[in-house]
Amino acid sequence: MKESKVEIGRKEMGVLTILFDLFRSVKLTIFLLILLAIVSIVGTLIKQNAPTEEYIQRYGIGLYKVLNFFDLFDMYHSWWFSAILLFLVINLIACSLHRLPGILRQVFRTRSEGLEDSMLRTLPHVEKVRNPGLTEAGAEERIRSELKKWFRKWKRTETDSAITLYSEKGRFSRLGVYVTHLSILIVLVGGLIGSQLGFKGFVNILEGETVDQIYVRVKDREIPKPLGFSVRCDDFRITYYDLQGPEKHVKEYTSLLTIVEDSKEVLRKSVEVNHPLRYKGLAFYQASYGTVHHVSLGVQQKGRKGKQLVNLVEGETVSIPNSDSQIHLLRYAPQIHNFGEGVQLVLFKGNQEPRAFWVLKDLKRFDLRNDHDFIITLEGVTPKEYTGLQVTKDPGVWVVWIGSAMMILGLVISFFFSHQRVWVRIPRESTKEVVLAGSTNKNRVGFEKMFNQLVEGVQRRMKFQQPETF
Amino acid sequence: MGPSFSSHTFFNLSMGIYLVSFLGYLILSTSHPKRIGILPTSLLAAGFLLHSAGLAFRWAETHRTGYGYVPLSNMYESLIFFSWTIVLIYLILEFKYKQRIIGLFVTPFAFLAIALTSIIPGVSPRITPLVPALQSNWLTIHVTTCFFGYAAFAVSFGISILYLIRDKNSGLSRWLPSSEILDEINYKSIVIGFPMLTLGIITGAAWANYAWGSYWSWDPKETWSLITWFVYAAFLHARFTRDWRGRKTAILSVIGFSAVLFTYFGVNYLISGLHSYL
Repeated sequence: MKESKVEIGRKEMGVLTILFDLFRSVKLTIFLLILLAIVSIVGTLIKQNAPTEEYIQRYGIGLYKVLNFFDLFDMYHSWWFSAILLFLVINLIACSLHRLPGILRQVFRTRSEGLEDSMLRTLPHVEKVRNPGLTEAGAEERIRSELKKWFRKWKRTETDSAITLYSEKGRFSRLGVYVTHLSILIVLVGGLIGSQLGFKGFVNILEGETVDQIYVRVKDREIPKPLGFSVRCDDFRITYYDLQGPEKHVKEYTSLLTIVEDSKEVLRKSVEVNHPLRYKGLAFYQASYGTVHHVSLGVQQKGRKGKQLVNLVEGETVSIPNSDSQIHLLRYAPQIHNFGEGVQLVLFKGNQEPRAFWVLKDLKRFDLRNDHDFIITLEGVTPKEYTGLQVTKDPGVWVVWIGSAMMILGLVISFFFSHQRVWVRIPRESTKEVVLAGSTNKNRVGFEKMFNQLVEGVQRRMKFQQPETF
Repeated sequence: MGPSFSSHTFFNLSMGIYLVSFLGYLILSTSHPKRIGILPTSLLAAGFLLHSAGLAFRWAETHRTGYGYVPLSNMYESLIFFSWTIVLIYLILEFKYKQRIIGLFVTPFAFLAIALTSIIPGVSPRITPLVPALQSNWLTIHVTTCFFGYAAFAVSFGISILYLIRDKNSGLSRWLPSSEILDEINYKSIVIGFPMLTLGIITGAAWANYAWGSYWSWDPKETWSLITWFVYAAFLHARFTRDWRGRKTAILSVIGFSAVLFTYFGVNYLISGLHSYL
């Protein structure tokens, strides 16, 4: 019994090790990155998050169902896209965990600075320089003055047979890749915070009006969301560039907004594109504008004297006083077939079928406007401008910026700095050769150049009988 | 003769010089293997100076028309700037590595980018005022960083083509730089390009966050820049594994530059999105 348990344990360990080995492989990283690149293309070819009808019209119901099954209409938020990202994250963490101990040892442990003969076989750059007969101290002094050109300091170790000078620079650059990888995790966490705790909504505010809720689009519906305070649009205007000629170019869209909380005006700001208003974690962006028409209708009921005025805006439904009927203003049109302006209305009467018809301003006897019970006339139209604001909340955005800054820092460290190490072993016996050795973790070509110059410099200086400084 | 006469003349002149410089690299590389001399490079540098002067003029012209902006706001200006960054990055790499043969594979892009301003329909040197969304300092830094990235990738693409040619045809290897050198310079140009592209994506996100209230919305341009980023990230990781180094990374660089081109042109002309102005 005991034995088999141990065996199972060992087997499990085996599976875990295999899994860990798989997840820590750079080949998996390359595979996942290329996979992400390929699948990401799909979402740029299929329009994302469009209304359902548009897709059915475009692809037909059959293909629509297939594409929808694979979440291809919102693929960047699909389970399978997230799964690939998750694999990349696991891969990244596994790689880091696997390599971190070694790297930390390299970065924080002061390693042996002597140059053993065994190291000469593994170090990529080894050069030997003949000593023309200098004493140990003389050779060391000359070598030091050459080393000074490339490194700020060195460590000196003495053994019975030799003195070794060890210099290094850029030790911390080994951490650059971790800074970069960590930054990717931070950016993803920031994105996750935003998607879980934030939202993206919109609101249209008529000039002079105040709103206390916004709308969030979920699939094809618009869900109201209370703000907890009110926003008033004092003014909306469009300014144009001052140009000669007939062309008009918009210079700026500006909304003058006031935040009202507990019936006190707490903040006033003019919002422009690229200059949002921020208040209590929410940001209001200038996104669009438009005009809605305030329409005044005259309603005369059959058998009664006098007209009643009914005021409504596009999209609004109001009850006709003293009746069980309601009227809905579908839309306003400035010009209908040369007949002038008019409105399209829908009349809801009791439990009869709703009826849609046009009412024109200048054509009082146009038949369609007449209902059996009502005579409806268009009395007046007042256009009112509204500003369209995008309203977002994203508590994760700062996390994303911190991650982004770290990413740049990490890339610069890991690309432009390398950990370079150089050993110079000066034997006590002047007949033996001075040995120079070096290694770098990156930028081999650059290091080789530097190392060769160092070797040449040492050769040159050792040839002189007197130290150069005299 | 529009108001942009003077800068346009500078750009056309530098385009001509880039073409001559390319021919110089071509002729000298076939007649004097390994000793191209400084002539084509001097020409290239002279063209670059004219080009820079043209950019300064263009900037001044936008101010003269009354709505001054940094000239990086439309297809015309971006192509001109793209060419400029390609030449700049190439000159730096040539100065550092002295491998002039690479100029043969890079100068055509510098020439082509300017030539495209006359070839692509609808690209005009006319100075038009900026729409509100483009009036942001983020625009300048976003476009600058992106195009330095693109240009570095263009240089890397030229080097990769050279690498693949050398790999296929060993008869040419006598007068071509060693594989190791090519691989190294290729890596160096991506090491310039990748942080630039990253910075370009980040500053684009920051700008989007100011203008539209969302730093990332999977718009086709954004997505394609991310696809490009993925490919070059794969390149960088591939270089760490020994058996991917060289040929396979050169192929990845070619794929990466195709993604760059699609991000730059394909998205604009084939897919519509937020980036409708550039």
